[in-house]
Amino acid sequence: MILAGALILAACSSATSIAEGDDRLASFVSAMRVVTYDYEPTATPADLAKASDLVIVGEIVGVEKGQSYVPLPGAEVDGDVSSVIQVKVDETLFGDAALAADGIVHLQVTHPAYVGDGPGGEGLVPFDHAAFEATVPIGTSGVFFLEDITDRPVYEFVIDEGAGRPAGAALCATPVQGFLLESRDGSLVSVYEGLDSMASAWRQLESMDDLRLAIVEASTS
Amino acid sequence: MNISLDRDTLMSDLFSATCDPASTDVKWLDANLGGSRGEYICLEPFTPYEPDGICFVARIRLDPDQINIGSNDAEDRKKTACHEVGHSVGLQHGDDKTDCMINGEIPDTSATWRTFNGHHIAAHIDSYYG
Repeated sequence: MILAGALILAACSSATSIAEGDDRLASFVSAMRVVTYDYEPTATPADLAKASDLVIVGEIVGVEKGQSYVPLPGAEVDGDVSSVIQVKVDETLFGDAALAADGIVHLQVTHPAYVGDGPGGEGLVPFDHAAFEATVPIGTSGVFFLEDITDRPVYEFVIDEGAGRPAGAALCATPVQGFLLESRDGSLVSVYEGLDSMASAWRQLESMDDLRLAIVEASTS
Repeated sequence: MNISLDRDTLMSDLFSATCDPASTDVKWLDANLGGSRGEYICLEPFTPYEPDGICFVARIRLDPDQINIGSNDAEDRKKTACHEVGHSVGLQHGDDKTDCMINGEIPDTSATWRTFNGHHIAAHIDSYYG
């Protein structure tokens, strides 16, 4: 019976190799995976790089409250809460480095307005920017596949347009497979979806160096 | 949209003008998802949040521009709708790849890609709603 349970779990879950004690990264990944996507998977990191505007190695250095979006004027903000993660560019692997402003890329992420069931299961917990900020793993390095979404808002109606970044700075997003961070033990963690759910070229990545090399080789071949 | 919830499971689906506390309410919206075809978020979980838990109020957004890339667009739209509804009843991206919980473009127009598989129905949906 225990074996059957384990098999069901193995078939239904997406493993994440986060080092023991790396609690903030674990919290961040858990928060980000509240939102799930149907997306077009790429077979290799090189394929994803070629579809990206910019690919960098960088370090998360901060987070600001970002724009919010509503589907119609006057509608309530309903789960469309965004924050902007600031990523310091350490190395440009592919694409247009001009998307960075003073060496910083501004990465928009969407997170839920409410999560969980509260302490003791007593109700939902508002998950505002401050709560989200507490999970963001400042100082963590990663590889970021970036798209310029400055002129492509989620909805036509934007609240606080330009929030979270300097005037004139580009706003970027990552595709589902394009946000990867390095855990304390050097293992590679895909933020939105586990590497084990991806094609073999992704599953074989064991470190950020593996990923970096895969992209550099593709960009020079 | 025929996602076979009524026929294949113990669930029922309906369009309601009011929220039913015993049901999962799903809001549907069009949006620019920046490269993704569909997006699911549970706004109010039934239980302490678990990725494979069921949801009281969910929001699903579809990006027709992304879904319509490639061929079989009509079936693709149904597949992505089925996929996101699947999340609202506790399903995750699976390894079976014989159902609507696969990611991305469907390989052909078979109804396989617009339905849930037997494991989804028996081990997840009916176990919650049965």
